Amino acid sequence: MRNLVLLATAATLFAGCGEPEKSIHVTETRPITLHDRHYPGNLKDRPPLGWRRLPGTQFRLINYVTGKDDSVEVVMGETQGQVLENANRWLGQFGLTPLQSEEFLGKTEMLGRPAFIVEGKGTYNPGMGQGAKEGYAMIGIIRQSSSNIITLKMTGPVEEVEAQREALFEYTRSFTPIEDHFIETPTGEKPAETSGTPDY
Amino acid sequence: MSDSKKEISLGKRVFRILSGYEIAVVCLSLLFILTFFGTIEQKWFGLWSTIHKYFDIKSLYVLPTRGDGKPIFFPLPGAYWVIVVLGINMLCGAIIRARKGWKKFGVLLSHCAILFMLFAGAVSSVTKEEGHMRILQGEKSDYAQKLFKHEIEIFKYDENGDREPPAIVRSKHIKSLGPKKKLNATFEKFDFTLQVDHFLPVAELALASPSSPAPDGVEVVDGFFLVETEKNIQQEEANLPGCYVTVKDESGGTIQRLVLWAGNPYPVSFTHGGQRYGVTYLMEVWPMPFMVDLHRTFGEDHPGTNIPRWFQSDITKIDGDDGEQREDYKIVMNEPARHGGYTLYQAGYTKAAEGETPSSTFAVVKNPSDKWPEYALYASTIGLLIHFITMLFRFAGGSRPKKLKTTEPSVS
Repeated sequence: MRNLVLLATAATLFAGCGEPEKSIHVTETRPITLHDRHYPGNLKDRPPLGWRRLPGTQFRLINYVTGKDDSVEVVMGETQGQVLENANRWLGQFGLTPLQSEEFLGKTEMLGRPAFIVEGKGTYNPGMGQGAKEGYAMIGIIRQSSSNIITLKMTGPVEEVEAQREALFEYTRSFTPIEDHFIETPTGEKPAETSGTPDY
Repeated sequence: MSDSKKEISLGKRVFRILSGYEIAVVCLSLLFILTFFGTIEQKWFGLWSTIHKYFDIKSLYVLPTRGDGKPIFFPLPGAYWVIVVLGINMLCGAIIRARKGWKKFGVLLSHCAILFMLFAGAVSSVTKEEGHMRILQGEKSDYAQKLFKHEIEIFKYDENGDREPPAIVRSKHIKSLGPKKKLNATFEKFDFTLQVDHFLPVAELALASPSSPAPDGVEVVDGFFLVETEKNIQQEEANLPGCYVTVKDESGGTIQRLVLWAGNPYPVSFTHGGQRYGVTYLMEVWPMPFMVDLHRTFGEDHPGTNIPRWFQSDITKIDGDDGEQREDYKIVMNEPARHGGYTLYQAGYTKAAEGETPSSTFAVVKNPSDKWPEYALYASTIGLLIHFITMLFRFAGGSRPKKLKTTEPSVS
């Protein structure tokens, strides 16, 4: 009898070991900190509700999908070079004739500075080993900054991209600089650079 | 004789064994051997892994190994439990069983102090919290992150696009899963369920493409998949876990399938019920009750190396609801800043290339027993001093020539 009880106890104890699923009820939370106010490039964006954010990559600081079956991609990145150079690279992905001057590009504004609009339609060859996609369109925005180029590019089936046109430009206007984590100095100057000997 | 032997109860016999010198000698010898092998192993496996292996409360036994994994000694008991046995031995032998009296006060005080130091270690192992706070010069921070605990946070975005306080799925629930088990998490504040599966303790997130497709049997989500990678044994913090999650509605239907990786610095999102939610897998965020402004960070390397010779951070610690309590500190190596149970150590600094911003990394420790070993050392020193001075006086008193006792002739 005693052995039976011991066996039953051991069986009960080990019963939970092999369970393939376990369940918990989460009640824990924490207060908001400056960690929650960190954004890529210190810019907070407000995407439309129907845009879903994906993991970023080396070349895609901000990466969204939207539209039917997530067929539309919206990618923001930083790159080098000139506006025209990047615009023609995008046009080349649609087999379109490269432009000779920026004045042939549409104009808009992004992050408080003039930006250029690049559009194209046709068969999209993104490269990087990906196959050609027919019936695609692109709306791209390129903005020159002091040290680099900021790009925002939407690609997808023609109808889906057209449906997201206004949302894209509204998204462009949504960026807000976030400076919560900077120390406010009385004169608004930046703190001193690194130099000096230890104070001990 | 046989009657007196029968009178010694089992409890007394056990007490005599527990309080004996033999156990103390064995424990101290084991600790010496464990520390020796631990010092050798940390060269191969890094400090964190070795400390965890030798001194963790869960390590019942330890097998010292060399860099290629081959054992170099027979199994030893874990150091934590050796110290527990030593503590019991000291309590029984050096405190309870020891002779009392004023002459023994110094020794008793020292033994109590050492026992207190062992107790401080036990308290620390259970209650200590530690994390890292990295701040760029000219910026501030009100949080640290725990390098070896990765958690899933889910939060709602408010109407301004800002995050609301997250719900947290703790590391302990996730890391026990492995690649085959699943975790179903329901939430106090949300009406959906999160199912976690295919957990990998060390992984990378890869982008699927025709030239780099996912291996057979590996799921691709949103064009990404997880690849299990080799563990970095030298730098535990470089080992980043990943998992797949499914957000389900109340009826069990799938809202969204996502892939999470702790190396992704920003959250992914999904939409449910007209609201936008973010999900992120990250090192545990540890909110601080104060803000740290980093005004300046600077230092110097040893000549011809990238090893810092010294480095210093000039900070202001800000407390209070309106930030009215401000204290300036200069944190340098081996001179931390302490306040309100928190200690900030200068753990590292990063020089910046031209045009970049240098940064400081602080190790933040909250340990109620932080100063107890220091107090124990003071008490032990005082106890030993008292004991040696007492012995000295007794010795000096005993070396004086004693007067010869003479017997007076009886007068009759």
